[in-house]
Amino acid sequence: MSQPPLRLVHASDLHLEQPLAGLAEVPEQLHELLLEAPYQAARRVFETALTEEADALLLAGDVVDLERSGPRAVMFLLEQFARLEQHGIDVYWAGGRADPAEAWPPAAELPENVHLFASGEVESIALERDGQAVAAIQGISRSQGAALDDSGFYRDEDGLFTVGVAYGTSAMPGAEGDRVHYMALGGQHHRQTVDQSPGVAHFCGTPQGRSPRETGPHGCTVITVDGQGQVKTQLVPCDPIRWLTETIEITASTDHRALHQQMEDRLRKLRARHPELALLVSWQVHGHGTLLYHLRTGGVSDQITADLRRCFGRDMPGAWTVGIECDAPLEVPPEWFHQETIRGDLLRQFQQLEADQQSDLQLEDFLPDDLRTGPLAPIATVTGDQRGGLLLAASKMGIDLMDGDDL
Amino acid sequence: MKITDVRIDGFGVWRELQLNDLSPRLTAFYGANEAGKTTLMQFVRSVLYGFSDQRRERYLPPLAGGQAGGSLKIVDAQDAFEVSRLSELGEAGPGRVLTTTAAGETGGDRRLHEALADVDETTFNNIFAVGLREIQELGTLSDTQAAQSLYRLTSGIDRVSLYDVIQGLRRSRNDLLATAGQKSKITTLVDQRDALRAQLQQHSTQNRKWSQLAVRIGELDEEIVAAEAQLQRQEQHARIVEIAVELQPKWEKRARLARQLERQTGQIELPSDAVEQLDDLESKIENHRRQAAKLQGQRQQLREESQRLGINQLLVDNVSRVTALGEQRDWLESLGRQVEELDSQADELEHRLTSEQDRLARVLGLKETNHLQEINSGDLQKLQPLVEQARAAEKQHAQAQRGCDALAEGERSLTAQIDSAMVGGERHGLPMDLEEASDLVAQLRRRAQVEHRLEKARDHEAEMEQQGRELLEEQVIPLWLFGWLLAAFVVGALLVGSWLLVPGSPFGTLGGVVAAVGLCGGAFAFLFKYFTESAASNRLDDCHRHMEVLGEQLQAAQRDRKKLDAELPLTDGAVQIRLQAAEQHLEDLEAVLPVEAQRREAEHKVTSAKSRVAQSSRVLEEALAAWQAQLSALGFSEKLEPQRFLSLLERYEALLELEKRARYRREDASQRRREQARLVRRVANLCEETNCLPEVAEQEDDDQESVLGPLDLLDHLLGEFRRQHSAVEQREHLRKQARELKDTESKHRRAVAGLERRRQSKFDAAHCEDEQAYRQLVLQQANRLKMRRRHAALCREVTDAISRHAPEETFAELLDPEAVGRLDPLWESACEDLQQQQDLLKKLAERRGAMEQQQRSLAEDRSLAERQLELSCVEQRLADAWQSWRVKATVSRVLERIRADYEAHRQPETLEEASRYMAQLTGDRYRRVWTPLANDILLVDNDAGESLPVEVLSRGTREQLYLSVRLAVVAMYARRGITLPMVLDDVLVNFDAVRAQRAAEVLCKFAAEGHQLLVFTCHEHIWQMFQSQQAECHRLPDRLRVAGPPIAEPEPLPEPEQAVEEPVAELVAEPVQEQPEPKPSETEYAWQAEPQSYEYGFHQGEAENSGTLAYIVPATEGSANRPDGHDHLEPRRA
Repeated sequence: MSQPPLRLVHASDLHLEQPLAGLAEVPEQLHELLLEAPYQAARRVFETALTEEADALLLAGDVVDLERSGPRAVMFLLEQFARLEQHGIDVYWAGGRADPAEAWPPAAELPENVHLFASGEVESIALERDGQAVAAIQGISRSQGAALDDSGFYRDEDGLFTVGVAYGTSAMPGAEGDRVHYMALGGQHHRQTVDQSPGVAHFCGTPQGRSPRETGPHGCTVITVDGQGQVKTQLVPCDPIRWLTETIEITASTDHRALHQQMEDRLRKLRARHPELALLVSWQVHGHGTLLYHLRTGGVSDQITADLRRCFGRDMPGAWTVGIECDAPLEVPPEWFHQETIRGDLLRQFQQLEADQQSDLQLEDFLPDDLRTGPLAPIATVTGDQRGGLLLAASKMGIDLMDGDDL
Repeated sequence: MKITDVRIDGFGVWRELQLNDLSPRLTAFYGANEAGKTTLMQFVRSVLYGFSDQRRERYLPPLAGGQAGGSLKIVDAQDAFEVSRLSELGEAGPGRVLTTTAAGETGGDRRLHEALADVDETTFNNIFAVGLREIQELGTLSDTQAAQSLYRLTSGIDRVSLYDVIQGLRRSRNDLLATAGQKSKITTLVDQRDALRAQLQQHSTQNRKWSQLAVRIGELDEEIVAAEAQLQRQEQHARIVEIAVELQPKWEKRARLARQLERQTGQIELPSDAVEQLDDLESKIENHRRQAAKLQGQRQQLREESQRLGINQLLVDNVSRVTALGEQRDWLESLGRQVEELDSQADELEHRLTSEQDRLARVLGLKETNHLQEINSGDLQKLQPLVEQARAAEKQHAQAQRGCDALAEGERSLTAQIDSAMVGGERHGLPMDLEEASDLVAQLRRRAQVEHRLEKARDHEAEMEQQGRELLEEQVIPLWLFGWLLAAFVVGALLVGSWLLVPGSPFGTLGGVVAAVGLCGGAFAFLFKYFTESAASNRLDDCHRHMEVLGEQLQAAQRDRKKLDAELPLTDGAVQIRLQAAEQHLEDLEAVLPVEAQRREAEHKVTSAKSRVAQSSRVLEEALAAWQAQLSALGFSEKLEPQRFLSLLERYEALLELEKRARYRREDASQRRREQARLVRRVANLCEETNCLPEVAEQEDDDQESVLGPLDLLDHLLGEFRRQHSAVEQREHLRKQARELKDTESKHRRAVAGLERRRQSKFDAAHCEDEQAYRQLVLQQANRLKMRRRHAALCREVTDAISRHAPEETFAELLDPEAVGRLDPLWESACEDLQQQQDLLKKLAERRGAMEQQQRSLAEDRSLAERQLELSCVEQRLADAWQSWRVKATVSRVLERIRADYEAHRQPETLEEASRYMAQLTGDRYRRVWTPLANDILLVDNDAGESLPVEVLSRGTREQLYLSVRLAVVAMYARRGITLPMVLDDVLVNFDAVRAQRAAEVLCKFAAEGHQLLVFTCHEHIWQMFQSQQAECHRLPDRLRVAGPPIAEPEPLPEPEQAVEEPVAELVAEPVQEQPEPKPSETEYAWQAEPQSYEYGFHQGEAENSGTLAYIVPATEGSANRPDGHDHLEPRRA
């Protein structure tokens, strides 16, 4: 297959309407960055298309929810589209769940270089260079409340390199790229290549992680197609602020000072590794030892978190500690279960509750009567998947309290 | 810690009071009212914890004077010391503490603090040293550490208090989530969340606003475009009218000129530059004519120059032949040189051939050199076999001679080797025969062995002699040994003698044993000496027998030596030297044996070789004779050797080769010469054909003609050819120039003709016969042209003025003579319309700008994102609070289960003990004291199994309960190692006789368990009850007798009934009704009829200001603000 070399930029899930979430408190120095991060990340996506001298920018949905973003996003996108138009870069935009094709305001006319695919059936557009078609871009926007019909994707009959743009497909897992050479997918915030052969299907992920669950680098994907039609994808990080989850293993001899020191060392390394990025760090503590009992909200975790924020969170760009989680199971000495003490009773009670998954915790008894039927009533309802974590946290707190610690 | 002595220097009513040897168990003091019992208890408190302000105010300075303070003697474990606390007059503070041990060591309050085991004063005052007031205050649960400790201690103390944990969790939960109307974290967050969502909902309309603005702006744009178009039209109209007004004069002037020009139409039109064109034509015609004449003269000059070149046409025609000969010039010159070289080489070779032939003839012995030339190679080949035969014979002879010489040399070498062996043996006088030499060596070896045996026997004999001397010396015992043996013998004899002769000596009593030891010692010495000497004698005899045998062996050896010496021809030298020489000689002889055989074989081979040499010599002579005969036959010298002949034969062959080379050189030279002659002829012929013979050659004679040579002739021809070639090229160049000149001349002449035709055609077109008429016509036309120009200028001005504003027809209508009078009114009307339209456009632009500003502000508005960020934070905090509430509720759920279990089955040991005391004090009427762990209250179960709160009990029963609890707590402290004396001041005053008797019994039993109790009573019958229990009882001294004026008791004891009502009445706004004594019926209590209506909780009320922190209220009052009237956590029973 002889093919003119191509360079495309694939982005999705810009979600200009979503500032970062998952922080219980926003430090003053991060406030502006948290607000602007989606726009900064999106701007870097467009700048990547310019610096890479891309043939086209592929937007695979969820670019913006205009109902939640306001006019600012519209103006921003029009401005960026105009920049690309000045450099002759086409934009192929397939609407997703948040940005269906019909949601774009008619009053804001898109530049000619922007091709917003219609919903309903796959539309095919030839990507031209110097008046000659070099690739076929096929795309479809998602309809509100309807499944995406991807049956219209097909490889170009003349052998042109065919790119599909869609907000996910209804194909079987691993078969998303069977119809075209490269399937640019959106709707998934984590970067993932779901199909390699015969065609590549790739989720480029969001250019900016929005919550502590969306850790690691995020950005857009630069697609390079060589003369033999071989596709190579490369991540270009665009996130100005990055969520990280750091795992620390502790031993029986680790106390809270040693843990604090380990975290400080780790943060220093992270700062050195990402000197220009603002970091939001969540900690996962595993291991053994009595420190596990005290690593809970309201316990030692709060104290360490405050210290780390004071030491590393004040600078810009800094490393802000989001929180410390410890899901490690309790390892109490076995004799504690047999002691005739309140703590022994407590442990036995928790053991019994964990063993009997069907038993009701009856937390509604603790609800004030006037709240038992209101919107706050679900607070006392514990689902099966919440039960384990809740009992673990409660057992930690119970042991902590039995040690004389304050609530 | 126990108090043994009390000494009051001055405190309240007491002065110089001394209470000594107090019992470590129970001591009952009787004192009437105002006897100073409470003062005594306060004194104990003051010494132990200091003079508080309250006590200072009440008890200091002492009423009876004296030093304020006193001392206590204390026994704590094994340590006994006295604590004194004194205070100066007017001094503040707790007073000075001095501790003095039994050994007289003094110190500060450290010992006292250690003895008190960190029990604070409040606890001591409420637990250990209590009066009737304190015991009643317990029911109010005042904010004292003692009250809290009491309940903590009685409510399931682990590492922490379950009560504290449950209460803390409840408070924490309430902080997170409280009932509607109360502020809590979750409800606050929910409110914030809802408010933010509402704000977001409001902000979500921004898009619609923005789109509406965009649409409206679009509409405005269309209106503005329309207005601008209208304005443009009106501007254009006004401009047209304005231009028409300005154009009016020019318009009229242009019309006049147009009419004049119209009248001159129909005349011949000449170009404006007709005169210039005519003059130009005339000048061009003249110029071309001059140029043509000039070129014609130049062509004539070229033609003459070409004729002067003188070209040889014959030579030019034979150019190919001349060129070919020119290419052969080098070859021709080379041929000359080759001919000369080949001739000289041939001459040289022939000369060398002649000289070599002469030398060879001389060597071969020929008399004439020419004879050698007659001999051919065949003759010489015939000599070749003879030469080879002779050389083979010589070679064979020489080889045989060398073999013979080698064999003879080998024979001589072997002979010399044998001779040297013989000569060595003869020099030492040894036999020449191998067998004899072998016998000689054997005899010499035997002789050496005999000599060796003799030497060994002599050495052995000397050793035996030495051994014999040593054995002879050993037969005599050494002096030191003899001394010891003698001493042992003498001691033994003395012991035996002392036994026999002095029986009374110290050895007498053990005489038998001593004598036996003495005998054993003597016998041992004698036997040891005998056996030692006997063994030495035996060994000496053996030595002598060995020496005799050695003597015989020496003699035999000497005989053998003499015999061998006689047989051996020993002349001189030692046996060993001779033996070595003989052995060496024998080795030489043994080595010569194979050499002799080799020598004989070599001798035989030499003889054979000599015969072969003679035979080869004969063969050689025959070959030489045949050789010489053949040489003579050929005329050569007979002395010529075959080897020499071979070298001459090679030289002869070289001569033949030389002759051949000379012949070849000569043939080559003649061939070159022929080629040269052929070329020379070709050159000469060509020169003649082209008339290029040199002029000199034609004029000189034949002899001189040969001087020129072929090369000179050829060079002449080639030089002439080159000169002619150059002339031809020059001629061609001149011809080309002439042709070009001719072409140019023709052009000029054609131009002249054309120009003349054009001039004539102009005249014809103007209908002029000659040039003069033509020029007249041109003048007329110039005048007409001026008029046209003026008309055209006016037209341009008009056109420029109207430019693109409107077509000319529009202005023609406006400037029509009939309408020109309406221009000014039309202009004014257009100006007014234009102003109105401009105002309209300005308004539209302003409206559009305002909308754009609104749109821009909407686009720059980030409040939506800020609200979303705030919302995410609030939701996260809400989720955290939600989870925190769940966790705490789960922990509470577990702790509630534990609490219920504790309440039902596992009340603390303290309460169990209190229950026992309570049962004893009440005669089993109240059997159990317990507490709901989540509240600071006590409940008592009666014999009917009913749980009663404290406030429903009678005062006496309540005091029994509090006394029970205190006794249990004191016992609990004791179990924890804290033993402090218990001072009870009239705590039994409200007991009836039966209860007092039971109390006395309980207290005595309690004291018997190791607790020290100091019980003060004002009732003698109670005092007597303690007496009946065998307790130590004292009457307090009459203070009136001891000190000065009587003082009043600090505070009169409250009446029993008042004491009951007082605390309860202070607690709540609507106090609990006092229950009738002795026991309320079950139906009288609302909590019993409706147990679910009671709840035990904390309420902040008016009593809070008076120091009361918590109190018990009916549930209906305590939860008045709660619809269901009870806390969701608390038990709904009493």
